[in-house]
Amino acid sequence: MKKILVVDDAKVVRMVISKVLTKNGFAIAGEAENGREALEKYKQLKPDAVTMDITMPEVDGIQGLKDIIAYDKNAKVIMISAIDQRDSLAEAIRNGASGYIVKPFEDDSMTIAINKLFNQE
Amino acid sequence: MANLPQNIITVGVGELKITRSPGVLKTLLGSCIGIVLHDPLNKIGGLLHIMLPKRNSEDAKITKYADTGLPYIVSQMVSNAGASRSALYAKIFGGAKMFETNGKMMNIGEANEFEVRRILKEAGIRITASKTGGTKGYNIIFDTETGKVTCRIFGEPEEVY
Amino acid sequence: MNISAEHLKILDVMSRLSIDRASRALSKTLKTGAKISFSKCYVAEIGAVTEKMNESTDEMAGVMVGFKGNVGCKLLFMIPMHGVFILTDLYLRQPSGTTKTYDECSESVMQELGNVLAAHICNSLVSNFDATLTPLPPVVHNDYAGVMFSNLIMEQAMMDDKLVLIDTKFEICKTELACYLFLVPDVASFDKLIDAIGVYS
Repeated sequence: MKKILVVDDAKVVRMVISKVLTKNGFAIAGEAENGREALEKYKQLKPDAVTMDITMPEVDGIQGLKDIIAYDKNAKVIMISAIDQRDSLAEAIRNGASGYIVKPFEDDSMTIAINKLFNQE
Repeated sequence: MANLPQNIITVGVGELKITRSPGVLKTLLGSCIGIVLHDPLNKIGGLLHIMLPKRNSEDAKITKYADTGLPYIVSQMVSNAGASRSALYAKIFGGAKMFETNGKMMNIGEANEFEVRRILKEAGIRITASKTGGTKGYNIIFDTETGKVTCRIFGEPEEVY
Repeated sequence: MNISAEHLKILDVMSRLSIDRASRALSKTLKTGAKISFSKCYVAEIGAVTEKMNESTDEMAGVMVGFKGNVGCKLLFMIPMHGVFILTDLYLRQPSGTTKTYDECSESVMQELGNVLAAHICNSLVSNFDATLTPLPPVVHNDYAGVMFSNLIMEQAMMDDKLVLIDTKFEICKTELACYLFLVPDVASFDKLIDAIGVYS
């Protein structure tokens, strides 16, 4: 079973994402509230993929993405953010994001995006 | 709060209001300081809601600042409303630390309180009660008949000063 | 603070488009309609508007969001305290009445709703008006409505006696809940944005 690290500063978002993922056959490796914690947990838990919010305190999701990719160039990180702007999307892709989902999202669209990550292996 | 009187006059940020018994003055305070001035002989009361300690430009509204607002409310109460200068006393409230949008806490409340106390002392006006600080808002209601101030900090029980 | 009548009108259009987009995002997040029942963009005198807000001692759950970019703005979203329980149940797709106390979950629902609203307002200003703008992490704070409102406008109030205020009320369908959204734009930066679009006073 693939393990996912869920990163978002809002507890309820982590709850909702975790619920959707477990319902669709994924395990939750762990959770983090910002980019700094995301890197720490990535190193510690070695998840198969990460869902990453962008707007977070201390270290935001783009920096978190950069740090995880610098640590593991094969890391699979999907950005999940309410920011729906070309520049944000471009920056995420440029820095190694495997996908980008805009909040509010349909449960299906997140599941499809995560499944795609592993089907491409 | 129970049984609010009908004759309530609300004070906004950077404003002052003066009234006599049975008038009641009220305001809500975050980092601002509310200064209540009372003349118990003539039952005249004033409430000044200041937001900053010192006036920072010549065309700025004087009632926003402790250093210009306090002398102004005193003169208005004495010259216009007929209050007895020597009978005046003060009560002060507010000056909480509030969050800014960058997540940091704004500490202007402390500076406001310091300046208010300094000016009242300079003016020879005794502070008979005060409740300041914290991180939540103050709801104060000042009764010019009795001089009492009912204060309820958000999330806490009501207290009378 | 000076704003021309033309620029105020443009700002009104910008804010309506942005808030409309935000309300649709709110509806989708809560899986129920969030209808705009009132929306106004106007120049407010600080003493008068805070006096009006201070008349009520309603206790509110609130979230404030700042923005970073080439325009300055601040947002306050607030609802009556009991309304948080309703929104928490809607957000988590729980039966109505499940949430009974204010806890970490309810606080985090407010945080996320502030984030979604702010982000979609930014998205609209960026895609429609070429702004560069993203939200900062939201700050949840519960207090009297007037206190939160004064906190929102404090920076403007320190510099001026008037401000431009965008005042919106949403009604959440199938509940009796009204939510309030205030936006305080930095006029100088919006003037530049409007001029850059090619609208002149």
